[in-house]
Amino acid sequence: MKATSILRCLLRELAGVRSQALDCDFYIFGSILTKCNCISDVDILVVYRDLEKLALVKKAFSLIKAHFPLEIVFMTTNEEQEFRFIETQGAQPLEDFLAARQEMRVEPAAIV
Amino acid sequence: MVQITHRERSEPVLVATMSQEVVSSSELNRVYTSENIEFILNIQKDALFQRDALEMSEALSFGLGGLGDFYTAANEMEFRAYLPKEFRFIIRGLRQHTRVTNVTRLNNRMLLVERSGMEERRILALNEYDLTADAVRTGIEKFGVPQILLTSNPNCRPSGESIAAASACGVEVLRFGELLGALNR
Repeated sequence: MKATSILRCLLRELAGVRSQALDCDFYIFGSILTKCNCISDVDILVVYRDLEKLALVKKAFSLIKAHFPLEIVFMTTNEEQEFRFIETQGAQPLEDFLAARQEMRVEPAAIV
Repeated sequence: MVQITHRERSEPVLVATMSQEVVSSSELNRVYTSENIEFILNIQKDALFQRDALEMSEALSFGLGGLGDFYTAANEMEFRAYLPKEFRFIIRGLRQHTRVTNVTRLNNRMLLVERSGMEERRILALNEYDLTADAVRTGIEKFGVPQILLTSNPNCRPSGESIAAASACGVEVLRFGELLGALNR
């Protein structure tokens, strides 16, 4: 399977997890937003409000992590504000990222 | 098993590979098929390396770690005696402490520090830059409950909630300098 196909599969899986976890906000950050040629993993920020529901999100991610190189950071809303993580990292909401990829039909970066 | 040719070495490096979430000595025994193996590379990210695995790597003189560790080992041209830089620094600092009599690695993130005339201390080193409550809870769940959580990244920013999460488990969050001071008490 080509790297571009791998990334497309990953984005489909992420959209699936996203639809199950309405209490959380998902963001993409890191090299996938800036590098054109190759990246080593995909960085994801999950901002959660309810600790009880976090276990379900983690379980869904653990299945994807078995096949894709993901780096996931879980933060509460307060922690995200404390670190100003989205702003400082230039993180992009997952929905925007997915929409941009679909609209622009840009070939995703290759995963190495 | 993979044979790697290193630019700066005449003989190739023999590397055994595996992919396990938890690495124990029995798992290592399955891939350690030759004394010529210099490094065992575990593909799985964020794996737990158990104490017996770490002891085996030291006793049989082969390096152990993930892909990042392997790249560092290759850069440093040190495969057999490889130890992550972070732990090299921590262990050396602790061994030089006047109160400390022995330091043992209980797993790849937890150290047992024995002190003269004082109780031993279990120290969990987490290397996060932004230390979150989730990182604390996940670290404790995976590597065990310490007395002290060491923020081994010198630029670490622990969140208020991460300190509260550690405190709820009876764990103190300290920087390296603070840890050295705490070992006197």
